[in-house]
Amino acid sequence: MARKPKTGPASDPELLILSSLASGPKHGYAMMGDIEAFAGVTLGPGTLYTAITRLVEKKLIAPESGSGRQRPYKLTAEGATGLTEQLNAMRRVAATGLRRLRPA
Amino acid sequence: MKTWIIRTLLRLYPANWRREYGGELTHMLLARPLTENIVGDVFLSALWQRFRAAEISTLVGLGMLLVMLNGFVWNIVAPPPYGSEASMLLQNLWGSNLYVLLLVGCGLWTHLRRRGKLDQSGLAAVKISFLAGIPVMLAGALMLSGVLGVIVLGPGDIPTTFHQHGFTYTYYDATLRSCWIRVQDPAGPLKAVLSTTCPPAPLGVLLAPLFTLPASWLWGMVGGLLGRWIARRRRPVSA
Repeated sequence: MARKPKTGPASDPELLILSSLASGPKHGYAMMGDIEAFAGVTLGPGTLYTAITRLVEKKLIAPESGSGRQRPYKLTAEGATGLTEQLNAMRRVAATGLRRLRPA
Repeated sequence: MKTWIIRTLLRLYPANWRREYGGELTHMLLARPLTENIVGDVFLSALWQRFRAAEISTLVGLGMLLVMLNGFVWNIVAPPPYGSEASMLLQNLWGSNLYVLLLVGCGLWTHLRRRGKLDQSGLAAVKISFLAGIPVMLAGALMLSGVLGVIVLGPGDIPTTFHQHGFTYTYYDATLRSCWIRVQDPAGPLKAVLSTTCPPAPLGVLLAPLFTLPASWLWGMVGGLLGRWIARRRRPVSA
């Protein structure tokens, strides 16, 4: 299991949900488990659905067709582009920070 | 018990949100142990969704309610001296320019957001006034029931504290009007004496916020008219 980040962009629920959905559509419960496994962050159900609501409104994710209590969500094209940009920006910052921390 | 807690938590969410996500959230909550952390998390999330779904008039009205309630409590606990800005503004809030601007602003915002009928702007302003008036009506009800006393403070008078007078509201009166008040003398019969200051009548305090509602409606409508004018200027001219 990954080490749990306490603060910072790596614990942002929206980013975590987008990253989870990058591997394919998932319903809420599956997202929680996946996020806990790859990021070590346990999102509460309220936090998860607050973030899902925002992402749906921003059209970054969309519910898959089909009804029922276990409705899966998928990443939209806009969501995939946004996630790629965000992760690339994070990678640049992380690479620079780590390089500067390395003893000369 | 668990089902009851989940149902109660779900009821805290706005109806629209519940229709969209309620089933999924219920399923998730039923599938795992309901710890204090999860209840707190869902409770805060529900409050946030309520806040996001609320009309601007509801939020402004609740803000005003808190301002008034805060002023009411502070007036009882530690009344400010006569003439201080805080005391006069809170007592005469309905007559202040700031309040009128707030109502006009809310009417304008409501019209620009909804693009609906003008009376929606009026109703939004009425909602603000009603919510802001709740602490005043509460004070009136407490006065009527004899729980809350009133002390009239004129220019130069020193306010008394909660410690000295208990549960008493300090009313600031600059006019020093004369009126007859009934005084119960323990040794004699009930008699009327001429007093230089008149405390507000409890029923008057209880009903006063309701009398401000028509004026609030008009100010909201003014804001709505302003919003309509702005919307027309913004709209592109069709060929």
